Amino acid sequence: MKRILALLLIGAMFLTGCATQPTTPAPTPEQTPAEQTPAEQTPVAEAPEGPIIFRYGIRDSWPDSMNPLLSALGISQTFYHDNMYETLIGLDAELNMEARLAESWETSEDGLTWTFHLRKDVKWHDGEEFDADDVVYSYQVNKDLELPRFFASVKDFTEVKKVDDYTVQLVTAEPKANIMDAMIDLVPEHIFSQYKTKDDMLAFANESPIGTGAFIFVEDAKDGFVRYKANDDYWNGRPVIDELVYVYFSNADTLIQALEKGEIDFCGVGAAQQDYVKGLANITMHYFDSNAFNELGFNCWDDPASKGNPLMRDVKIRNAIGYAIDYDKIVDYAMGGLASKQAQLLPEVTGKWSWKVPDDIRVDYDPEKAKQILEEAGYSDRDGDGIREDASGNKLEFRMSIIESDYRDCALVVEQSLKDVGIKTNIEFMDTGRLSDIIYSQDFDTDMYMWGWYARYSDPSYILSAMTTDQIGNRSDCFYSNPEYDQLYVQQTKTIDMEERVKIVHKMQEIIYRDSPYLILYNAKRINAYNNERWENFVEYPAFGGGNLFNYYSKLQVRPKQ
Amino acid sequence: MSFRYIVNRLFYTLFMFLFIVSLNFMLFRLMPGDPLTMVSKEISSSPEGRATLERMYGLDKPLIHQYGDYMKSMVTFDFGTSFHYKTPVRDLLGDKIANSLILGMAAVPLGIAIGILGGIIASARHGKTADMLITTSSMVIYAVPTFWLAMILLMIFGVRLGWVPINSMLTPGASFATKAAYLKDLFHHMIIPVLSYAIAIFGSYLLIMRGSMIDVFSEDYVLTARAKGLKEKPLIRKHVVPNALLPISTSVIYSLAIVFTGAFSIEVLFSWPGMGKLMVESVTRRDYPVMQAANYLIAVAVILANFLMDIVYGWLDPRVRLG
Amino acid sequence: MNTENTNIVELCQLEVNFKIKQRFYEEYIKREKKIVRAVDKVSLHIKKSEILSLVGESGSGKTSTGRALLQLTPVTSGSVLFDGHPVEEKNKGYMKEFRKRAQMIFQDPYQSLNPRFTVFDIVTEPLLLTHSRATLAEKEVLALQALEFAGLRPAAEYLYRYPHELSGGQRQRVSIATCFIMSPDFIVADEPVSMLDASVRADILKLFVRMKEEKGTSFLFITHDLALAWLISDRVAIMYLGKIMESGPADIIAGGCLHPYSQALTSVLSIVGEQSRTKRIVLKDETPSPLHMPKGCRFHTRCPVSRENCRIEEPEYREIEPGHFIYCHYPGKIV
Repeated sequence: MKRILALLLIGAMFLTGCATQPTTPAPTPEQTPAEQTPAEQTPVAEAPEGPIIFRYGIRDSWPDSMNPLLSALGISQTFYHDNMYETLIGLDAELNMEARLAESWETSEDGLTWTFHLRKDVKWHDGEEFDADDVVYSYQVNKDLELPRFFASVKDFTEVKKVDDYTVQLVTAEPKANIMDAMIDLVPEHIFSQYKTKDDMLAFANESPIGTGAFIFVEDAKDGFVRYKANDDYWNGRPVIDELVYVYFSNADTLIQALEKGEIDFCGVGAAQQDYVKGLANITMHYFDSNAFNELGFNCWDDPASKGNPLMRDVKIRNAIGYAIDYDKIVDYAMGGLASKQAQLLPEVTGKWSWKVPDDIRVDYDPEKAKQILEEAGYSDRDGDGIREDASGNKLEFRMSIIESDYRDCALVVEQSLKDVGIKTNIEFMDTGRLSDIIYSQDFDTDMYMWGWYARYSDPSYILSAMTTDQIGNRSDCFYSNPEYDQLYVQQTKTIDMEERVKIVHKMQEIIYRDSPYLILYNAKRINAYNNERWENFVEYPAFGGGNLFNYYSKLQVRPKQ
Repeated sequence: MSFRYIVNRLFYTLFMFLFIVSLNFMLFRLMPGDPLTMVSKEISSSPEGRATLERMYGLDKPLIHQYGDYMKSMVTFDFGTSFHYKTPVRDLLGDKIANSLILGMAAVPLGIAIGILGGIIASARHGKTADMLITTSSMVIYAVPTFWLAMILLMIFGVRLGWVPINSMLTPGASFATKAAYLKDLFHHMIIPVLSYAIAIFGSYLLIMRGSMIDVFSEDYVLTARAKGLKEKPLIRKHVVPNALLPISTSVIYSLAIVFTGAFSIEVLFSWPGMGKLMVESVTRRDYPVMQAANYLIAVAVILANFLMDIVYGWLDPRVRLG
Repeated sequence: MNTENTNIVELCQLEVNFKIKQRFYEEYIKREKKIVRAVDKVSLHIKKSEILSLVGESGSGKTSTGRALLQLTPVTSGSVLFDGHPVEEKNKGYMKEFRKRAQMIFQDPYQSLNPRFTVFDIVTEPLLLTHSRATLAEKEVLALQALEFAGLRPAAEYLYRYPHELSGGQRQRVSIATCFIMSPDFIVADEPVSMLDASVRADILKLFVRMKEEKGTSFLFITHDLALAWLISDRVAIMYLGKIMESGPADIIAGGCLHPYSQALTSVLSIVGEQSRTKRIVLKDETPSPLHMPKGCRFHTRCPVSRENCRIEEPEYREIEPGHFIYCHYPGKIV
């Protein structure tokens, strides 16, 4: 018996020894001399005099491609691309345009040509010079090969011209006001251009990425961590920290424990854990409004192919629902307080783009008013079963498709709210895949659903477009169609004058507010948490609503506590 | 075992294998949603961009064509490229399986050994307090959710006492000067997961072994051996245990065979980058290549395990051998 | 204790009680103790080179007697003497000796051999105790001898077979060989032939007789079959509900038994060469449960000639003729 045990233990250890060979992400002998600076030779976890390492703990899906032209997930931006790649123009803390790889720019009189003057002292991580060839290539390849991430951003350009080594021109057929939507990650022409065909590029995984950004890629252990080191030659100044590491956690509790223990320096905190983290002396919490909002969407499709309840298309019912929902309860109960109410389409953190709803038309929780609207519209409870019907006897009974993992509590609150005003809701729980199927690839066989968006800080066009008739069959999930709205949308894409454009965007939000193809439920709040015994000098970005502490500027200037 | 018997078994195995592999293909495509719809909200998708994505995933080809590609990949073990990670599935799986194996090959034999030993000890003291204590405690521990057990261990040893790190397989970003340093770090990260895993599984083995032992204890040949003056310990060792191991041997082999598929709850809790976690996440993401490859490997493992069980059982039990 | 001992085994007032598993309430609150008196103050002796048959129906306590004798079942009270020495668990030194010289053969040939051991392993296992330093060759020789004696010929063919390759009779021969290899002085044979075919039974029993004559081995032959007992026994004891009803030399029990129970048993046998009785004595009722022993004479509930006294007073186990013991108030032939 003992012999069996001994054999088993030896076998396990043997396997451990053998099996660890292929998984070791540690640098191979060839890499080591080149990669390691003298400061890196000591095992990092122990030495305080060693390199300054900032560890960001993340709990999300693992990102997808390292090829910025092919990646499809937002998380890939945070993990990979934001650190290594840059755009021509960026946004400052007030969300105004700021120079990045382009020092300056101007628009032609007719608004059809954008000219960018490139910075001259920028080098790629492999030492090559950054110049106009890279910019021209980056824009051209996305258009020619119809690459998924940026095609929509660049398809409006009829020409991408190299004027000289440091000047590029982008030409459009119509004036393009949302130039910020066209700020794509610039990739090195000397590396990417060897992948000429679509299939070649689709197969290019870009496992050793070269960019111009503040951080240089060191290694990637899938589902484990990603390491970057500081770019000494970065044009905007070398970051204070020496290394940036993203550590992956699949479990929220271990994430917080790692923060407490000092295994990581920074992470996001969920609603369930905020009380625990509040009690930790060495951790500072920072609340801020995010750019994520969630809505109750309605099936507004008036095509005969739609399988939705036609009553859903009655704008009065949607307005009534707007008054019926207990928004405070959603914020407090369903979201644990980690949210704020939002009425207009674009959240307040988008700054000037966000329309302020005038008090006289503001819709808030008012069940009596909801009932009144429904009664006046002809929906009453004629048979006494608690559910209203129209004149022909059709019941106000709607299906609600809910992604269970994300919106369960919300859905229950809404169900109750609607019940109180005489509307019956049949909730169907499912996962994201199924909901996508229902809305996008089938015949929209549901009446209501809950989903969310991230509003871009850069430009409102993306979110606004979701409501256009054009986007039915693509981005639109409510299938709303309003010619006046469509026209305004086109108009604002061409209005280069910022003030004018803002006015149009506000008007569009007003239309949406009145027609309610969406009812915005809340704007999510998020919590940063960091180790205050070790770090200081974070920057809030954007400057509205608290601002996320983990951003481009913080990464450059955060430093160990003095 | 006759040659004909083996061939017969092989044929049956092959047929079952083909069937499962084809089912594998169908199953995932029947699931609602496909990989594209999962990302549809994230990227600024245009119809052209979508088409490119479809091409990248090979979803633009007719179904028969996809099936053909699939069958070919199963045979050549070239499982294509993961939709999500954009790296070859083979490399991905290789890493993950190795990681799961490290965890599993340490924990599962440990758990089995504890279970079997415990079962022997409990049965030798059948009816007495020791037996009752062992049996009850292993039943209780077995019933407790693995998750909770692991969390408790983690809290105590990782957070409060700070003896071991609490996440993943290795210290992120650390580079190791020597192989010994690497093994030491690995070991530190391994202890709690391995312990949790072993504790979670030993219960069933203990109870089965104990039952088996008690049955054998009542056999006449044990009484004979006693009558011949054989002492208790050699008696247990030579007569009781080998016969009691028979029923449990098949389940042991099976457990060992599927070790590489990973233990999902342990892996998620400790962010251990293994197969279990990968498989579940691939389902959520509808990452067809990974799911297909993983399922395929499980099928292979189980079928092999079955085959092995037949042979090992024949070796252990002479009565089966000449049948 | 005689210095010149003719008895190899002596049982004095042997008691073996089994506790019945009771419900908590009954056991601890009402303090009722349910006990089965499997062997109730039994006294027996077996001489050297003698075969004693212990006969009785199921539940009479004969198996328990045999096992208790060999200390395979705990003894509640009373003593077991082996060759003059008391045999008890705590006397480990003598126990080792005892185990070498006293053996057992079981009823079920299909269960009594370890299915994973070869015949060689089984037969030579006892040698670990007796000839611990024997070489493989020596062990083989001894094993072959034992198998030959037990009637497995040619012995070499059987040596490395597995039990499941042998018939019932062959397996019992292996068990016998296993005993034989130790040259024991005493063997308890618990229904050794009841699961064998009739044709094989005689052979096996002849082996016992041969062992007795050639090796001087004594046997406690436990059986429910009185006819078999006659074939080989020197003496017979008849048991009922844990007590011995009658014991004595085989001929006397066969022809001249005086206990009503013995007479009932013998009356249903046809014995070749003997005058068969015309009248069969059939006992009334069923055997009572051992949990509720009848008061007075144990047998009185079924006795065809029981009298008033039998219900009240328990008879004594006494010697009415030399070597002939009986447990009855009114022994005598029933007409």
